[in-house]
Amino acid sequence: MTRLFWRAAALACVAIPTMAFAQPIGEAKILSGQAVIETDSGYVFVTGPERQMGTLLRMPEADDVVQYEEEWAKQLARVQKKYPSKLASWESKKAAAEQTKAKVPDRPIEPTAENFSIEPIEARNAVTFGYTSIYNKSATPRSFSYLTKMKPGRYVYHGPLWTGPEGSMGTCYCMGSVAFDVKPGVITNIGNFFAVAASAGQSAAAAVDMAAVNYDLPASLQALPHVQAEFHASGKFDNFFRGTVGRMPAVAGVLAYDRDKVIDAKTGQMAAGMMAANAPPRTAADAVTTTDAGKAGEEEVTEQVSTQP
Amino acid sequence: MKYILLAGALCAFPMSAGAQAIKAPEPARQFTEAEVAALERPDTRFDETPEIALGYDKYFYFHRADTDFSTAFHDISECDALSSGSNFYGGGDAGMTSYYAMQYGVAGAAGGALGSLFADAVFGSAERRKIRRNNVRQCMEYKGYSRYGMERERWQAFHFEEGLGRVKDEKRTGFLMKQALVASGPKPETKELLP
Repeated sequence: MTRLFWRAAALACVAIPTMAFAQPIGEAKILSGQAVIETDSGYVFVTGPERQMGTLLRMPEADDVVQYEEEWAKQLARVQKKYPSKLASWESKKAAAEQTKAKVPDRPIEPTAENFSIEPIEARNAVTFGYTSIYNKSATPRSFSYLTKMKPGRYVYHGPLWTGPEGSMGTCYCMGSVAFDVKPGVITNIGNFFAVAASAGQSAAAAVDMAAVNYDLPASLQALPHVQAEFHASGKFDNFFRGTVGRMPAVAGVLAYDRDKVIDAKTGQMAAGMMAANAPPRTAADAVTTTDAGKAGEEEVTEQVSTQP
Repeated sequence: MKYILLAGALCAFPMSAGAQAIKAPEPARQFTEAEVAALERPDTRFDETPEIALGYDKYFYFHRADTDFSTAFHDISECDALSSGSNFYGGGDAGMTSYYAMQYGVAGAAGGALGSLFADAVFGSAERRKIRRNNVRQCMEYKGYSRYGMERERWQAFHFEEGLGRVKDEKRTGFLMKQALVASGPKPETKELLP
């Protein structure tokens, strides 16, 4: 177990550079002007009555897929190059084991295009926010808020789960969730929606109390460009981080369920999922809305930034 | 208009390379009547005692009316995959991802499968077994299956527990098939438990 732990630790260190870029921002940095709303970055604001954590998965776009395939091919070539020496080493160990009547180790699996996998493309663009990295907090009313800078795109709410190189913990909304666009140059305001959703529990009949959802922003953000998140139903995805299995409670007008079928309440049809194997990646054509919104945000931000020291 | 543009762009997208890196999900397996008939039905009858009933949080099985064997097998397999962090909806193979990460030190393979190792090292196998049980239970609740308690030895005849290791695929599939047989079979006569 100890050997497994340290091997995993070493691999995790290698993995850190592949984790999606995300940066928590504190209120002091906004107030002092050290942090500004950049026109090519997205920002997500989340609040709630208690500290919280959550993970967002950016849906793969066409260039992500190209990059992923290139890396997969490179890694496959690498392990295929290593295979002959692995096999020779195993044959040597096998011979030694047979002589001493010890257990023969498993023969190494030959890497092929059919059996070789690297981490899921959907999991590599994960952004985790919370728990201690707050934007601000207040005692009355009690609130803890989070502002996170991230790459623009469409994000699926993975659920109230923490993931990082040290491990993962929390709930995966693998069996149904919501997606929303994070547009460049503006703050996408989630309000306390995630916190209200979490308080609804995980029973099959659970529903988000939309009357309890608010999108109040701290005074320090009110003058900055912001939009309220528009939620869309999002279908099932794998439990990438081995969290507790769950789903986003039903959301009136957005997300419904027929047993475990995830229904887009806007259309009455089954919701599209985020898995790249089922749904082709978003493309430049799909990013038109994002770019337009970014231009609008850029103008507003320029105006705001001009007042910053 | 946006979706017309999207559809056009998707047609132009080179999916052939992605067919290997991003693998298609396994199609739902359809069993013939002969295949189902060849399975040995697990014995689910037992006399309940207060002591046995205390174990129902651990030892339980599922049933849903008007459900055929292939559907039940697909449902149970989906819940098993979600509960163990395996791939189900396509993209890759979580088991092979872990294999290549650990055996070959592939940096690109160090993802979710790896992340849980740290929590496992801290909380241990018992906690992982408990999480798996609860996960299967939650998933099957969403699917509308009812839960019934069972005596430990009979339960062990067609179930497995999974902690830090992974039950081998052949053994796993055999157990899941037996669970599907019970889930799609006659309605249990014992008391239905809370989900």
